[in-house]
Amino acid sequence: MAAEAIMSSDALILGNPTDAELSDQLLSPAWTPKHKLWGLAFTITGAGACMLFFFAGWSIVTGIGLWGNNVPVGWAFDIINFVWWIGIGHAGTFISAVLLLLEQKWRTSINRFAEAMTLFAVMQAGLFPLLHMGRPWFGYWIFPYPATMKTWPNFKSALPWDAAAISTYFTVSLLFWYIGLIPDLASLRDRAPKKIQRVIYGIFALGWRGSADHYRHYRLIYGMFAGLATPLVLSVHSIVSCDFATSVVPGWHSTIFPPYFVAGAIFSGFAMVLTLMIPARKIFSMENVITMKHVDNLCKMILVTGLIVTYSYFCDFFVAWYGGEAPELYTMMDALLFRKGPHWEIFYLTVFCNCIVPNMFWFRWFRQNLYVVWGISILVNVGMWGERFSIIVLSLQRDFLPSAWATYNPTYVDWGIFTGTIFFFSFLFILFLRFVPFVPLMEVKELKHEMHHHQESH
Amino acid sequence: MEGGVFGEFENGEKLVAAARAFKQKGYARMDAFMPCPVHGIEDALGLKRSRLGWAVFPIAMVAVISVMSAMCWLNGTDIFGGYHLNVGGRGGFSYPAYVPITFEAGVMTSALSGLLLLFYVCGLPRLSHPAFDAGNFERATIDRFYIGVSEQDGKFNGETTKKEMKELGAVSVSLVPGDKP
Repeated sequence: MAAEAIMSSDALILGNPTDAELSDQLLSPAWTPKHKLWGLAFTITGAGACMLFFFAGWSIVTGIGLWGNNVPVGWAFDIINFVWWIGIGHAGTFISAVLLLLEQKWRTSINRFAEAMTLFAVMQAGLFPLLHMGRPWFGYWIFPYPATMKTWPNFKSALPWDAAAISTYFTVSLLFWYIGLIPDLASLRDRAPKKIQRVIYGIFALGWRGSADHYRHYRLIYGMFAGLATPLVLSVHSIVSCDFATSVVPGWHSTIFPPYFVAGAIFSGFAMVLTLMIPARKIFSMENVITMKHVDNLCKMILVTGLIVTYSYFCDFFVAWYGGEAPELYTMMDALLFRKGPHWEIFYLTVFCNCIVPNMFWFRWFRQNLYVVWGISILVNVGMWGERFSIIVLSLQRDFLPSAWATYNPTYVDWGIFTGTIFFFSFLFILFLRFVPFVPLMEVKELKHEMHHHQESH
Repeated sequence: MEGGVFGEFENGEKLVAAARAFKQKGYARMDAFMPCPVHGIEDALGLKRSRLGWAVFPIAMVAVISVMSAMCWLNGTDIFGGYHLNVGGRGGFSYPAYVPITFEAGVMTSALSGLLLLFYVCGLPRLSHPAFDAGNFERATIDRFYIGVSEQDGKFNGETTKKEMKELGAVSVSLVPGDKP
């Protein structure tokens, strides 16, 4: 009985839709007339995106003095937001690539959604390394080009590693997302009601006709991309963590950082997937292909990665205490844990959101209640933002020399840019929901056929 | 591009059975057009496993070796524009520090070359093809499964092949001429 339940297609695809019905359901959001709410969301998020461009542009023209950054806190909201957004992006790649290689069927209907989230999150993250430079118009100096000054980047430093990692990550994610999209663009081309839609989708579908000869190459390359993206999930955030770990700042110089950051990234990313997915599946009536089983599995992943993050905090503090080095003891134990440093409340908020709250997911009732799940997903992301704040700002406020200690305070420009990126991300996301089928039609059909095949052979 | 006889089938199993039957009759130059990959179609059509991976790997290795050598040269030596940069005791040949960028370069190259090779081997983008003129072909990406037997196949004969397609259970059969040269 239990074995049948696991194999049953009921858990992942509800009802028994035919290919034609599935196609209509998953493709139709692309051409149904815009709902009034979509128009409102478009306007609000668009306005927020304009706010981002305004504050970012002002920062470029006037300088970093508009922000709260100052000695000793040279990195603050800029790098917090950078790491936060990149971390969110990693769950999308985890779902698309890692879960594909692990042959987890539940990744099928949510992978394009998650991968799009990754792309838009990486776009937000990519703004910050450029903006936080005092002279962003020299941003190209990070790449090795033959300069008349014979200056090359220091390839041993984590910052050029970042440039390589983020550009590779964005490119590979974009191409992976696009490759997965080609058969669905072909379906859209063949079904869209208006000629102009068929032409545009047709151009991007590249003339795909579902040929078996093409599919054998396609599946190999798709699998290859999954195989490439998997080590990227690990390497990109490890490289980002090395921005801190390879320095000597107390609280940063810790070997636990690479695995800690990767687990934290997957943690916050899965939470963001849930934050977006719970409303989307309701609004677009996709509850039969994005089922409670998907929500359940995502909650379990949040629990697992939350426990890894909790263990990482423990390791970090334990080694700081065990190592006995005075500056690190002060920064980690006194400033953070014993509440002597400024903004210690953010650290405690982080511990609450990351270590205590996700444990609600041990209980099935909480995993099945969509309001609770959505609320927890928001708190997890708040907690992860707070974690980056604790690591970056609280360590810099209390580093080696007490005479250099100072308190950091963000300005409204810092907040404007941060909330602006959230709006811009949402803007891109609702455009995606409107024009592209966010549940991968071809893959869900393949899954459906596979499950029927399996059921019939029993 | 070559035309031929196209038959429309209702599901994957009928498609695979028809493909096998055609292969047994001696047809070799065929293709199937499906909304999603169907289990068994590659064997039924006699298609071999893709060898693209064999092409991508050497390209990636070339990139990895070039990038690592470039970094050792640019940050480690003073020749040809390089500048020996000793930071924190990590001088010229500090290859552990160069690994992250080398790895990312390998991944980026594999991805880009894999994609370009995929398009090259499939002949995409190719916005027009005789298959699109087959009857009802818009359903090939939705819920119907097609077989196309090429007119350049040795055993191809317009009327006979059409009849055989009909006998194998095709819902509709069309004879589509190829592109005129």
